[in-house]
Amino acid sequence: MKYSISNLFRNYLHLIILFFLLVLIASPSYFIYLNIILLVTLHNIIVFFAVYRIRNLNYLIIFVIAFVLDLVLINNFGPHLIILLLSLLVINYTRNFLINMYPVIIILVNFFIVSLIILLEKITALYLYNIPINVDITVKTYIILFVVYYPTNILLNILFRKK
Amino acid sequence: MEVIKNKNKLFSKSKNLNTFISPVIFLIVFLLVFINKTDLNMISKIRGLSLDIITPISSIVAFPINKTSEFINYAYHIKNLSLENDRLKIENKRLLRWKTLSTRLIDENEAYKQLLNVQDKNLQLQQTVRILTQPSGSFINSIQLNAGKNKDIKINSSVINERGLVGRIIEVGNFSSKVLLINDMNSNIPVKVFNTDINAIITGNSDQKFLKLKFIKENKNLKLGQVLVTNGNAGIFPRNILVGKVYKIDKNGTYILPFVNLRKLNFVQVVSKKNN
Repeated sequence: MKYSISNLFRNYLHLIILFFLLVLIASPSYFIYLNIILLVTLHNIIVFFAVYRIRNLNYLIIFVIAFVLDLVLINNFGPHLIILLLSLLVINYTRNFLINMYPVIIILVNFFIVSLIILLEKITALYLYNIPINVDITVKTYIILFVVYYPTNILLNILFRKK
Repeated sequence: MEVIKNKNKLFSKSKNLNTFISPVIFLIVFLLVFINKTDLNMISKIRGLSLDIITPISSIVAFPINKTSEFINYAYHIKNLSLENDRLKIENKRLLRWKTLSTRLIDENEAYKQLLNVQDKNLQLQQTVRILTQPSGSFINSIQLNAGKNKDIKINSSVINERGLVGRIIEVGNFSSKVLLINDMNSNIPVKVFNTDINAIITGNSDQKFLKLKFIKENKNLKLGQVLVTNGNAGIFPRNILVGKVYKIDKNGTYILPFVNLRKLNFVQVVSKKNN
């Protein structure tokens, strides 16, 4: 019984992490940087799970996450939904090619994918709903992504190492 | 063990499930975006309903985080208590001197108003509400309130606090509502310089700290320190709510410092125009 509970926790750990990050993004915070860190980490984790196929991250989970992000951050539906789901689709079709690359290259490609997703979300929000791209916050977001990306990956590798 | 076996079976089938579900989800996304762009009424209902579902979950899970944040603030407050006390003593002395003057001025003001038959109490308080969520502002600067249709909150009602204008309601659910803050780049506020007839429009700025002058009637020049209040022209914000003061003028534009600290909001008041 003990074994099954811990196993169950391990199986749903990715969902628990995603859920808490999502809730923290929506909760009030006096520190703007904390919110950006959480948002960047969420994108990073989604790409990590999608590329390494951790626990079969599926379209339904991404749909729910993107739906909440669109609702909370933009108040209109579209940018996160379209970009995150399309990214998952593209990653699903290119995973075999990705996985066969050198680990360092995979890490760099993942970084590029996360950066591209964040940028495309902002561009989609601009074109769909005329939400201007805040250059100040965008630059901060990329600096934070640059700083947070590698430690997050190491942590995720430890947590979800395949035995 | 039985449960785990069944679950493993479910996971093994999830690839097939994904191939079936993905087209359906893409279709739902397309419909959502399409409805969002065409039918405001229906999407408003979807947003309202979703907010009502997400808000309680978010507030329950974020409760310990909020309490920790409050505790840190409280500890910081305790640390600065002695300094705060000295400051308050000085301020109290100053205020006592002002009190006498202001009582006399209020009486005079009331007398003049009665003489001129002026009706300028244009604000009607709808609710005082607590803020539930305040996202980062990566896209729009908004806050979520724990009152909606249940407390008779309406779209485009103004939101203020004790220091001035906070924003306006852009979305109303049954139990929650969303406020677009004045420092959002989509927010346009018609203002006038206090005690003059200089009208202008101010909007949010990318640094989220200042507001920026977007348009000024007849290209008049503002001066540093001038106080801006709402002029009530657009029909959304009631007249004479404090917005901010002119803080900086340079070649890039005129910057206004809002009176309200928009990153530290706890309670706000939803107000509407009083129908005379």
